[in-house]
Amino acid sequence: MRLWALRGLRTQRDLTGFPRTLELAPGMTPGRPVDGPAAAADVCPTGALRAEGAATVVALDHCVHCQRCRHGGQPMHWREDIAWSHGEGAPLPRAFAHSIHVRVLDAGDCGACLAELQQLPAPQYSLHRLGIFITASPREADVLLVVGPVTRAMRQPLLDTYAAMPGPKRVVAVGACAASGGVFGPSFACAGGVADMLPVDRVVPGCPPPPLAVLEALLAVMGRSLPRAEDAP
Amino acid sequence: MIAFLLFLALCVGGGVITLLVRDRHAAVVATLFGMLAGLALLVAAAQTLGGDVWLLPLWQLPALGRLTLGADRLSAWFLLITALVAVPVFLFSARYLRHYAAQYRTAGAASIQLFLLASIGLTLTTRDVFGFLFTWEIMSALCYLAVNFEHLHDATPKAGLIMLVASEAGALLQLLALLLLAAHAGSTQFAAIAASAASIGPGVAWAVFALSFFGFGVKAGLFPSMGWLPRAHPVAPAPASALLSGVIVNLGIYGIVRINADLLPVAMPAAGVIVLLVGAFGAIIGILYATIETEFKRLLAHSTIENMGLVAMGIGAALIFRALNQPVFAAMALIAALLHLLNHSIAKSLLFLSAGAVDTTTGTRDLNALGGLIRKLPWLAGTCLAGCMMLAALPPTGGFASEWLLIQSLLRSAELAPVSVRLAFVVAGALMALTAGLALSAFTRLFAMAFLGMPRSPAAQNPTPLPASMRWALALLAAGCIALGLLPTYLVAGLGTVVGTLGLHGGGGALVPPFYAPGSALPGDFVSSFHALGAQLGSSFLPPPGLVLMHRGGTANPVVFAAAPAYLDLALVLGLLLLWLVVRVFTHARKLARQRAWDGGLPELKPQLTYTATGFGNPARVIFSAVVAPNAAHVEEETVARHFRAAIVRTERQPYALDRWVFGPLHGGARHIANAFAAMHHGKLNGYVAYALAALLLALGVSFWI
Amino acid sequence: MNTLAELLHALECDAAVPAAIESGAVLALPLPAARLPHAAHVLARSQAHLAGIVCEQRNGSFALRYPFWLPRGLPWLELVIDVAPGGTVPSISPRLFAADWHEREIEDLFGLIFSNHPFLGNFVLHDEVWPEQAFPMRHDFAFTDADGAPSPYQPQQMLQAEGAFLMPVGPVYGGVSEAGQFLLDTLGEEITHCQTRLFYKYRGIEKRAEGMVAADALLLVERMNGTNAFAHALAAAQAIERACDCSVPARAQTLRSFWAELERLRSHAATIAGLCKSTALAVPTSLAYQRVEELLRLSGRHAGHRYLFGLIAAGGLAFDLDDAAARELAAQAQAVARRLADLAEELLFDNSFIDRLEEVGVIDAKVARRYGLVGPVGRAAGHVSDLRREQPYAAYAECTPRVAQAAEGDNLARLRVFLDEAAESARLLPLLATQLPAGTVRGTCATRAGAGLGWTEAPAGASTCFARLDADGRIARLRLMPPAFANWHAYHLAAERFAFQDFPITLASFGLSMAEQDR
Ligand code: SF4
Ligand code: SF4
Repeated sequence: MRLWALRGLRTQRDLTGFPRTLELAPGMTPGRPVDGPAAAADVCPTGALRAEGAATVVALDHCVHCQRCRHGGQPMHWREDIAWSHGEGAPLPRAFAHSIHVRVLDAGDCGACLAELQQLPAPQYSLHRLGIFITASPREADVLLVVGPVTRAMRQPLLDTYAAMPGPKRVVAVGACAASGGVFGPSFACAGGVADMLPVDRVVPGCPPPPLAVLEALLAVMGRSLPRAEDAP
Repeated sequence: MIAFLLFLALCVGGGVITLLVRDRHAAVVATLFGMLAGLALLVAAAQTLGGDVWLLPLWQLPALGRLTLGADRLSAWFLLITALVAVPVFLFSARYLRHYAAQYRTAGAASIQLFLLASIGLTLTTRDVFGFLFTWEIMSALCYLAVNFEHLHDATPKAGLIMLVASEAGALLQLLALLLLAAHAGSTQFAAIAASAASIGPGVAWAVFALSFFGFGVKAGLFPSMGWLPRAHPVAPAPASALLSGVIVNLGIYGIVRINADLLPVAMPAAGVIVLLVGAFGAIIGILYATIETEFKRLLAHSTIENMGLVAMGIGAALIFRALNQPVFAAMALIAALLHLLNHSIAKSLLFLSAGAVDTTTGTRDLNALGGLIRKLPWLAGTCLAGCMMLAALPPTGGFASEWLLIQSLLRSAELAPVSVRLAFVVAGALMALTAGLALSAFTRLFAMAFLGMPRSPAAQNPTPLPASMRWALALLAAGCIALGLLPTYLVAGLGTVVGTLGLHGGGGALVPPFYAPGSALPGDFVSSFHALGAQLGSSFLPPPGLVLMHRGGTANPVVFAAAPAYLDLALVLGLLLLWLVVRVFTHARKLARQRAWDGGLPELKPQLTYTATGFGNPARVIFSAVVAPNAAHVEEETVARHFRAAIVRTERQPYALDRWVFGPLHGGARHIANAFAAMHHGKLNGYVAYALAALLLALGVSFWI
Repeated sequence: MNTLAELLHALECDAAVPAAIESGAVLALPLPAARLPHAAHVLARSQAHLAGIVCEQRNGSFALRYPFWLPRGLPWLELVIDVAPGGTVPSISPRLFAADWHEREIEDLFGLIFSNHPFLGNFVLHDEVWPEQAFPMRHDFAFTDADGAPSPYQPQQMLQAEGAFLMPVGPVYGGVSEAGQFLLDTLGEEITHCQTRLFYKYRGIEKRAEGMVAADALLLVERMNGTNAFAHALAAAQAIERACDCSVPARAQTLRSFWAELERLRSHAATIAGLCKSTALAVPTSLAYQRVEELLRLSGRHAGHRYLFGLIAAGGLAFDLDDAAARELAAQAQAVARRLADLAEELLFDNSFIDRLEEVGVIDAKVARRYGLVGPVGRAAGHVSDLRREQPYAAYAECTPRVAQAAEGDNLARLRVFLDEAAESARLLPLLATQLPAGTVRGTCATRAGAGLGWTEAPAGASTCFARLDADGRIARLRLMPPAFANWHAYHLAAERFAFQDFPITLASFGLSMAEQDR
């Protein structure tokens, strides 16, 4: 019998400053291409880059982080941040500001998105300290977090899970796949993301989005105040 | 006395008339007579309990002595139980027997039930050796006929035969015991036997005890001779089962109490210990089988074994206390036992009738094939729930009060001096606690598997409606379950006088003290401390005795234990109401959305994807596999094209534990022990749970010793 | 049967034995279909290891390839048969059970019938979702064909016993878990039979890759199993490189091994973390995931991506890693691995942890062989094969790993193998970092038609890929045969005969990906 609790207490703290600050450790995020001067838009495999006059604009929902526009002759400008989720859905009512339960649903992801979600309880991110809990039963879930492009076989389970959740509820699409189908969809086997069948309140692009990007989106859905870009060191 | 004779006349006359009328009407006629007879018996029992003790000497038979009838309070208590069971059972059988009409003569079953009722009444009121044995034999024979009614069915004759053989073996022992007593007294009259008891030597006393206890133990379904119960019950018609478990087994208890507490009060503590431990083993084995059984009626039969074990534990405790000069404790234990007997009879006949109702509406009693009946038969589900809660000892039913009293009276053993006796109590107490826990699981399972979830067969999907008369019979008994939960104080006070006739005085008063009487022996400030709890409520307008059940100890420790079942029930009802109100207030503005049960995203929840009764009981089977599942199941895998499994067929033979242990072959024991030790470390979590339990028991025992 | 000549003789092949056969060569053996079962029978008794089955549609007819790898020093064998339109294929599963799921998959996706296979249909394409007559991998499949009416849902019970029932787990279950389903045949408490129902995540990668340029197809292969992206993409890149004669610079070869070992280390750490989590030990779980995060950040910092996406390219690597960075990365990864080993040491001294693993989820060597198990799962059951050693690729010919193994085949044995392999990867990383040859990391590729086989030892086991390119350099057929395919096939055997509460632990100890299986 080991005294694991003691062992845990003796371990050095390694927690991110988020959401107090936006300070990032190296490797925490892959970063993302941002709008900027003309670059080689045609290297993009998913059409996420579009030349608009002298500028190249990024449709981040479609970016699969292939890094092609990062290397090569005319690279895009990359920003190493995490706060890139977006969405029109209203946050949950005030009562949810301090704690929510999240049902994670795999609708055909490649494993990386889920792996990043697995990291959320890790000591570096510790999502429980923010009052966010991952639950098995949709009956007690406030937020449905969907990864993957929604395969044919997962379409009905996805709808059933959403229906099984009590209101008020929000849907967060995590990853390029859930946002736009990513590299997989739409096709005969996959839909082009969650929005094809459910109202999506918040989208977290990225392939996969790093844990903090997901955390940021969840806090936004909870209606919590977030660090602004100026807070970044 | 007049009421009792009227009862006899109604039974016998009704039985004859039933045989004479057209078969179509037989069941209804028998029901009429049966219910009237039951009511007459109720009056007779109430009168006797109220003080009308009577003795009616009949004919003098050459060589066999005088036949005597008579009822004292002990008889009356058993008669009361009989009457309370008989009325609803006859009400139920009017329609129930109809579905036999195509194959059998229903008049047969109906009249047998009436004659059986008469013979039960006589058995409980004969006051001489010969009359008792004679009526007992008639009762046994009628019992056999009642069980064997469906004789065209394959399993029936064999089950009936086993029952008859067991019963006759028991009767032989009883005969010897009674003859020993009669020989010593030189008279066949019970009164004379009781008068001469003081001069009986220890050897004869032991012989009488052993012969009578194990002899009557057969009928009572006590360890180790209870194997006939689970065989006989499933094959008998539902009303016969209800009588069998609700009344007939009680006769065994009656015999034990009559001989060992009345005619020849047991003076050996060791004898009481035997009764206590026999009861404990019976209880635990019974409930273990009930926890894993999947046939509705057989499950109930195992539960009968359990409850008879509990009653025997109470009796055993009473015998020990009495032998060790603690008459008040003895009275308390016996009161608890007799109260439990009543509770069990009501609940068990209710459940056997429910089993019959399930059978008539769905055509099956296999719990694995039932499920979801609550949606189609809410009435049946409600009444069955009352019975299940009673046997699981849950408030607001009466089962709670009697089982609680039983446990409390066992705990009084702390006052006893001999360590070995206390050790026996520790073992018995632990087994009883385990029994109570398992009973909860067994009856949760019974109710859940029959009434909740999804119907697991087409039959369970479309049950036919339940006839009104059956519903009323069930409702009567269910109401009885609730009433018994509200009234235990009155019953305990009444039982005080019943056990008083056995020379055990003070029990009723000790359990239901004159709490608010002006001359109460309790300290005044102590009494007033109960006022804050509202314990005095009702003392001004309710008939005495009060609503609090407590044991008044000595002055140093004025209250040893206390409970107020009636208040508890009230609090329960109020609590539930309050909860409903709170939920209502907080959610009244919300819209109720109904979604199908969450099934993990399956396309459709199918019955074969939900728990079965076997599955529900399996943890118990695994943990207690030493008792209930000794034989490794036979598993056969069917494969096609070399590697592909097409099916796994699993069959198992599961001989009843006692057939194996007691009646089975005795050789090969050494090998089993060796194997058992080797198998101790099998790496299964469940096994270790069982070890932990065993270790706990051992530690408890040892710590008590030290 | 030790020599190639003997084996070929037993196969009754007329193919001349080439004079010099080096590891890494692929020897194609065309056969008449009727001789296939015999050949499978012979190979099942040899040291050959089936990698999978490749089905290609050529106009109306079909070509089937059965690639087998042989031990070090011997080449790959590839049985090739042709099937006329409307013809059936003799099933080899009765003789070589490892082929079972491959045959079922081909039946579902191509509509080819395997005679003698007892269970066909309702595999990749679930009956309750897909119409009966949709064969997506056929050339004439129109996407709208998938919209026909499906059949009603009919779960099948395998256990026939009084009171037997199915306990469904999934497809939506647990906390953060992949979509898949286990139907547990049980009498309660103990699992008698486990039906692993996968392909809830079937994304049609092989179909979608057709017509793509090689670089885009590699993006798809990376996302077959995102947590082992590099290894699988490397197998595909090698297949493509063989198909169109690419030259891969030596620096790229060494770096490929380097990244692959980093990925193995991280993937094994995640498996170990999952195992801790399944036993509900909170502190070790946190500590293990902390290690995983550290490794992810190392990848993110040096490769720009936490899961090494976008790194591989046909002909080498998309971008370089300079020598100093490689050495620093190797040193840091080794430090993390050491912390992981410390944790493991503590875990292996915790009785309550060991009790839940030892003698639970047992797969014996016979089963491992019959099912052709690969990777750590196979090696923990005494079925030892490691493509880095048997058929070296990238820089493994020079830098051969020590292959971890165990014999018990239980959860604990698998944990030990994962731990040993993680330690071995940490040992290789600095070696590879100091041996980096100078030069570029990107070679040139011709644009021409061709076909090739590529393989790697992915963290979960042997991953094999077949690629055919058309004259424009576009993918004509991409067949992915990942290790999950072999190991999921046998997973149910480990779960059977054990209690429900052991199920998640056994599942975690396999470290399998459903995404990889479903593709
Ligand atoms: S990184 Fe994103 S934006 Fe850039 S080329 Fe790849 S997919 Fe397009
Ligand atoms: S978005 Fe990218 S990482 Fe996430 S599931 Fe899709 S392919 Fe995988």
